[in-house]
Amino acid sequence: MQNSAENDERVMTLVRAALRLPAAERAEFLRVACVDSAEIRSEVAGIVEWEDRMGDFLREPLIDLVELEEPGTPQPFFQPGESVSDRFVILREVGQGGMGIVYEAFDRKRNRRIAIKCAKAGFGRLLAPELEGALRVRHPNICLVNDTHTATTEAGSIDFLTMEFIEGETLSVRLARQDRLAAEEAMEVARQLCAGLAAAHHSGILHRDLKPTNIILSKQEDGRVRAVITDFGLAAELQVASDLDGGTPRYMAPELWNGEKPSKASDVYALGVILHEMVTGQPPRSVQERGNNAVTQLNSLNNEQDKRWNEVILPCLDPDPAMRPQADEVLAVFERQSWLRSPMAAVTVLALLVGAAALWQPIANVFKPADIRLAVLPIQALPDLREMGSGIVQDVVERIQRSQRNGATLVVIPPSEAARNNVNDPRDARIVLHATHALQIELRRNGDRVTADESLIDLATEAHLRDFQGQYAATTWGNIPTALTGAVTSSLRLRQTEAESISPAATLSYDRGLSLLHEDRYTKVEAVAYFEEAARLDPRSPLPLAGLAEAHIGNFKLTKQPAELEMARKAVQAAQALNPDSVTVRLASGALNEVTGQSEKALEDYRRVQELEPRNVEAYIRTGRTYEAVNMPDNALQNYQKAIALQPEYYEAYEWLGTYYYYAGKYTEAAEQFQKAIDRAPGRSNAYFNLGAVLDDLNRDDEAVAALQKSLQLKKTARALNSLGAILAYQGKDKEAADFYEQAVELEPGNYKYRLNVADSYRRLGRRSQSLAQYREGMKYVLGELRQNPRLGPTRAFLGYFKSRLDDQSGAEEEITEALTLAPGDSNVMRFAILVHEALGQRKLALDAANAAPKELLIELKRHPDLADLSRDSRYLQLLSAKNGG
Amino acid sequence: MTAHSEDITLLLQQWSGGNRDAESKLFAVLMPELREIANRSLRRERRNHTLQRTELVNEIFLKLPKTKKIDWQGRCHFLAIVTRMMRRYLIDYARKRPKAVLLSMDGLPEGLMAGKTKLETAVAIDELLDEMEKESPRRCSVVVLISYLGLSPGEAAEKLEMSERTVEREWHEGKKWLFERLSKKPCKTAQKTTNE
Repeated sequence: MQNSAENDERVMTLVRAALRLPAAERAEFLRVACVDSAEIRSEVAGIVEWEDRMGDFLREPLIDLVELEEPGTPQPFFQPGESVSDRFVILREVGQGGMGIVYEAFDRKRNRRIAIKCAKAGFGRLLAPELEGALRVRHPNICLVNDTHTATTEAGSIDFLTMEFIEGETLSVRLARQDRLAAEEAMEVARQLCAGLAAAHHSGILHRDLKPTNIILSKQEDGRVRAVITDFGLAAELQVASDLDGGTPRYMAPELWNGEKPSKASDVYALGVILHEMVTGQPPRSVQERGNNAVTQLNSLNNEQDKRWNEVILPCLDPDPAMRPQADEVLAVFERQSWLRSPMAAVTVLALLVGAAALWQPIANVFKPADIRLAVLPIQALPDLREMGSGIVQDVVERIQRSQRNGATLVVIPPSEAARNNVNDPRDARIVLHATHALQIELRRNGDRVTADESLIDLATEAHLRDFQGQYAATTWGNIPTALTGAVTSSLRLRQTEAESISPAATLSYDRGLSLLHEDRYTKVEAVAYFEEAARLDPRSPLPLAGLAEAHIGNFKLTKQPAELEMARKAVQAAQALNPDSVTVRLASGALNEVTGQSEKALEDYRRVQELEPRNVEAYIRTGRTYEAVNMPDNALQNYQKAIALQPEYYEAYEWLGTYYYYAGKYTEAAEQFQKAIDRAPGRSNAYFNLGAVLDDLNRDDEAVAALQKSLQLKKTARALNSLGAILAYQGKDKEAADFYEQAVELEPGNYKYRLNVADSYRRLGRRSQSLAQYREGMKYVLGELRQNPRLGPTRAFLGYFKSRLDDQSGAEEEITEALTLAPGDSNVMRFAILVHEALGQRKLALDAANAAPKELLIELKRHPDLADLSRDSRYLQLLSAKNGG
Repeated sequence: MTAHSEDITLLLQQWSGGNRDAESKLFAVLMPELREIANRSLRRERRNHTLQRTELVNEIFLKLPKTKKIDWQGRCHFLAIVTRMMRRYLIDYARKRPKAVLLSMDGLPEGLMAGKTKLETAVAIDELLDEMEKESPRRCSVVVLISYLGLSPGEAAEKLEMSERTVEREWHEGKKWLFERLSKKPCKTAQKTTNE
């Protein structure tokens, strides 16, 4: 039988029918159905047989990318950078609980950080309906839900709660790390928990599921502890199941076991268990024994003074709910004078008043931060490296000992002691040496290089705080101790031990590189060569490599060549191998994280720099820049201002602040800041350029031209050429403008903005094919940039514009929508929203976009050669005068 | 925005021949298609996946010029090629994240998986599809659309402008072909049918 569509039709219809029948009936069915053709019958039978044999083969799509996770772990709902409900920007995931996932997010409407909590699949709505109206209590020790929302996403709709974002760790994390709280802190936390619970009970709200994972220990502005109870009133029946701890829901009052409903008294019972754990580091015995017996004494109290906890905790644990105190009664005990005047607290106050060192010493132990007992395990290396290795490890031990934290005790247990006790792995370090952390170092030969691996392990959680690896040639072996120490000091936030230095031979090249880097951030190609030279002359210093990374990142910003990014990445890695905790290296690593859209990591880098050097202006400037990138303008502004306050005579922060204002559409303020930058550093082409650009936007043409010419005089840059072109184009002189634009494109072929401008001028001059070619070329570079970082709102807006000019209407609209979601306040995004809708003939949408734009932008766009028609529209003029009036 | 198959074939050919105008038209016509394909590829994927739809589309968009030398046989062929590019990209993506990603292949018989990780099996199938494409581009397109993008035979038929039963037939033959090669012991009753 020939194969044809008809044949397929018949054969496959029969196959379908046959497969629906029980296997035993198929042969008979086919015999009847194919009475006319034995050939068809055998064909169908063959296919059916094969389908049977293949079973479920390929029944599910082959590519199904799924996170490999422990069963039962909740799936994240949102990704960092994602905009939810057009209002919240997800910053990062902060934790996963039994019932859901918590994110840190930014609320654009209220302009503040919040926490978002999503329910795990199947948990439905988190909030018991009758509670929604009641959740209006405000108390510093309670984190109540602000609101409930539903987001529509590709994966379906997601219910989530928004609440105050509280920075800190949960009590359960703290107890896992520290076993128990120091007496003074325990007292303060206990008092606050009672205050919070009492306030809630007073308003008729039950917690229903109080436990250490629902308590966050944060800090008040004055540095004192702030304990906050979260997840009030969430559907408890869902949570209990999630908190089975070895079969015992530890915090559940005995009456709940018998099916009674949660009550204020059951909350108080949970509070009692928590206080017990906080003070003694263990659950009460009744819980351990799973019995209903009354607790008569706290477990493992060895300090006489602590006995007074009995009077608070024991009544809370009474098996009879009616006998338990109310939360505010417990609170009252804490606030009693006699409690406050406990011997310990009195001494503390005295010590503070007298300031006597002798008295202070023993008291300080009460307050001290968590102790670290770091066991450095014997090195793992083959015999030929062992001798060198043990020297390196000894060096690392001594360096870490020198990096004591303020206030905390750091005990380093050297490998010799570990070896004496036969301790070779992290587990034994915890059991035998009572270490809190372990450090494992391994050296391997790798051709003529040595590879060093280092793991820092938190023994309470067995988490690897840091896995460091570096490769070293003979010339850089000497760096191994520095590098291994740096990985530890940065992870444990210890002080730095090594001053950054560079050999005299390499200094000259390094300094040249640096001055090029700072002189003009738009031509860094030459800097690369100097840094490479310096790295060659001093292979042990991480500084030239960090400089090299910065130079490549600068080049990347200029050319958008991914290869630059790759080279920057290599340089950062090489620098980290030499010293991962160097300020300069962390700055370079931060810059790299910034350009690759990993803002969270960048902020972490800069935070560490601020920790090591609290007066490092660059760290504040870059922190500001990063906050701008994640659309947190208030934080950005704060950091720029901090940088200026630290060093008012340094030009750079003014420049960034000016740029900040510029992109916020506040041109007058921007011009002011740029002028300040020029006053402080008059020889910089870039500063004049910035000023020129903003004056241009303020329609002060003559001043703008003068500033730009000054800039070109100092240095011929594509940007200045481009801006001059723009002024001419706005004056209707497209022919002359095209001339400047062409020069700009020639200088920087990879800059899509210049290509866009030259294409616009060509278009207005009627040079259609030239124009389309430039739009297309420009779009390629935009796509290249988005490939590196798809979260760039303004770049998406450019893409939208290119698409509109290349007749891709739906694509253009889509990109503009995405751009507005990613960066709604950005003036370039607003500008292109207007231009794109005009180009597509969508006047109404263009006016809507204009309505959202600041006054300055509208004034500027009035002169845009492509918006002549729009700016004559009475509605546009109305809009403008309304904004002027307001 | 949809375009007839012939238009696309023509545009593809013009573009291969170096016509720049064809390129912009082609992209305008194909972008929605690419987006739809990307949506399909990522449809089943969970939300925590860092790969984004636009990223995937851009990735393919950027790789397309490299396919200029291909002798385009029309829209169906184009779809198959693009889908394969996405597939490669996803597999590479998965490779780089050995811990983070698994490929769901619950239906695979035990024997097929012997000694192989799921990713290795996916790679093996991916390589086999190259071979299949040489034998029968049409069959390969059907397999790719159904097994990679999760289209139903009816949906695939619409995309490929074929009858649904013919797609079902091709799907059967394609599956069988892969199954035989993966189990490496072809069954005697297997009869080879070709539709070319």
